[in-house]
Amino acid sequence: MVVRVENLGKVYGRKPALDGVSLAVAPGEIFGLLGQNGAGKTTLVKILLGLVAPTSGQAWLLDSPVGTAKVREKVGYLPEDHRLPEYHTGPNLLDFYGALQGVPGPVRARRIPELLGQLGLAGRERLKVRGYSKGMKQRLGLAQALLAQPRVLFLDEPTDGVDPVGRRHIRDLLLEERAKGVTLFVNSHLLSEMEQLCDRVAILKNGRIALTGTVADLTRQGDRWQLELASGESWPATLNLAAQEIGPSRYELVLAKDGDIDDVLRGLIGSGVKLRHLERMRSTLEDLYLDVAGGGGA
Amino acid sequence: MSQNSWWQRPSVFVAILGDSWRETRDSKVLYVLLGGIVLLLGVVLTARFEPIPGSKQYLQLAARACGVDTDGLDATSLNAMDMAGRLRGALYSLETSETVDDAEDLPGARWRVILRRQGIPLVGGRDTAEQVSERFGKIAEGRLFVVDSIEELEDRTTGLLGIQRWSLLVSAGRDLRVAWPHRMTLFLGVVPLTSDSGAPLGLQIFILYKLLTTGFGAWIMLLVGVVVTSFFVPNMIRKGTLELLLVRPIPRWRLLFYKYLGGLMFALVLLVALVGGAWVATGITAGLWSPTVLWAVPILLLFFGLLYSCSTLVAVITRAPVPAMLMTCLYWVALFIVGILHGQVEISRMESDPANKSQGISLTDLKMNRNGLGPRPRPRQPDRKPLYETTFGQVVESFHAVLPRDRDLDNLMDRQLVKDLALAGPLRDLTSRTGSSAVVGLGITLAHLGGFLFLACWIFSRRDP
Repeated sequence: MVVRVENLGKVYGRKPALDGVSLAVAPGEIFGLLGQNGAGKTTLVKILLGLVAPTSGQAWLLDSPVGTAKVREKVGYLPEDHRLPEYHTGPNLLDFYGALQGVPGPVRARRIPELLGQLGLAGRERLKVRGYSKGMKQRLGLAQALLAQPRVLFLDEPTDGVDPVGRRHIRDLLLEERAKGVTLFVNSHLLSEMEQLCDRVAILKNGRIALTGTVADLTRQGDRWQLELASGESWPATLNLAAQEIGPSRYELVLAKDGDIDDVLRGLIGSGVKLRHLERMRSTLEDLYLDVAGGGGA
Repeated sequence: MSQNSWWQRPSVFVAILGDSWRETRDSKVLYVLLGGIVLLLGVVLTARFEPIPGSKQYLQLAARACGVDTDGLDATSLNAMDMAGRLRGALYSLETSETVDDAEDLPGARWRVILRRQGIPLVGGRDTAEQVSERFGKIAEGRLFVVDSIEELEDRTTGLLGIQRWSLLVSAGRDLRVAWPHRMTLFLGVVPLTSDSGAPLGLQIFILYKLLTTGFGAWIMLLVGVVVTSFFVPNMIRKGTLELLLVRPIPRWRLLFYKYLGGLMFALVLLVALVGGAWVATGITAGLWSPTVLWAVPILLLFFGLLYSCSTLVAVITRAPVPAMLMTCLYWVALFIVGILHGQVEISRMESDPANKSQGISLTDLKMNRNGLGPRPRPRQPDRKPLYETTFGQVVESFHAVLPRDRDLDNLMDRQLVKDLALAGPLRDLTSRTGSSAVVGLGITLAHLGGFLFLACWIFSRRDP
């Protein structure tokens, strides 16, 4: 496992931020951490990066205890609400962080223009960071996280302040990183983004994991289907199956098991009814999040 | 990806210094200050030092000194008994003196001198030409004149009366120009700064150095340095910036320490510009190159390092520049006040115990007393305890014992300057008087600096971001 956390706890003063959190992230996985403000997401990430010491429990990153210099060399991090030093130009800033990260000079010289190009920041090399828009700063922040070609990326709100085109761009870039074998650990409030990006998510509530699983499993709503028949057609009475009409020639079915839909289709065709649309119903991550994080219980 | 550990990567140090340098340049204050320094030095470059004709007093002094053993002469305890004990059994005097080839009577000239020795008639010994040649113009370790040639003027009659006469051809020794009175003007002669009788060139340069480097100039530089650099650490450790640094594979204390060194670099650039510029400008205008003034750079850098370490500690604790700035200034003022009060305690001790008069005296004190500016010995009031015996005096001394002494550092600089710019031995002798106090001062300063820095690094390493 790239990330392994066992019974992790953190208390600030008397206030518990994390309470018995356990999770694991596999190599090459995009793992999303969801939760309301103050749920403990950033604390968990900071513990994994060795920035904050846990009060109890243990955590490993790349099979080593968190916080060692050896591990940090292989990690990229984009914090939420980061404030890049504004007296640097983009390339200077990347060169500075690259040197601190231990990236050799020739590698920095090659990677920096490459990353600036990939993130749409080429042509602004002489502009100081104070002249950057919020979206540009976000992309520059992402560039510093990617510069050292890390094995694990921790991204806190990676598309915050970025326009939809830029967001799509960043999503594609992160998927490319995943394809290279990089593991991503993402915190975000943009649930639609997370749904498109993440393989697995966990929802933190009051410092505890309230729910975890793959996005596909969590958003599946049993075997609910919606069907649309050709205009003017109605549900054949010969089919011994109760379908609820939800609109003109539109029906919703709840089946007992996954394979029953094949029997329904055969029955419809046998009755001479023309099918125009068939869709398996899923709930969104947002529905799920609101149910879990927004609800009263954990 | 490099797998080297942080100590194998000097690029980290270079990167943080580079970052500090960019931050410094970005503040624009550096350029304003450098501009101010250039302007100031431009004014210095308009200064003119004109020697005032008149060698007589120095030739007379050199002649009289031939009859006195001036080695190790102590200016602070100089008295008639001392001088009497140093007489060599004959009195020397200058009979005539004139410049050679009708040259102007200035330090660059050569002089034909008739020197007269009055010994004890009939029984007294005689001095050889070699002895006179060696003694003439030498005062303690200083040399006003050198003898180029000497010839004894034989006269049987006067010889019987114990009189010897020599004709000497002399030229300026290495210290003559420093002692020679010069008239100083600014703006190419438009604004006179000295009276018509002038003042010794060495003294004028000494005052100029003091004004530009360890005095007024240093105060301005240090104050601006404290203000500007008090933003460096809080900027680095603010939320959102700090995390981007702490996630790197570098120990936290090293990040802070390197940032501290970056702040010192800011001060170093200014100090080198100010002190180096003052050295070059006075060298060009006065023709007097005293490299010891360059000691002001490390001495002032050390004091700035002390203030900046205090600023760093407060910044790490509060994460804000204003408290860092205020606390540092407060610390500085406290050191200054303790220094002033300690001076008063020392004076009270000297007044009470004459044996201590020559111990630990600073050049500043000496000058103040000589010019009548400083506190004069007051008649002892028997019903009143001297300050150093009071509780207040003891409290001041306790604080002074454990706090850094900026005045000691200042005196250290003075002593170095005196070596180049004082007339000769007597003042130079002062340089060895307060050596131990300067060493202790340096030690305490370094201890405070190290303590502040250690504490700052320790807190920074342990605290959650």
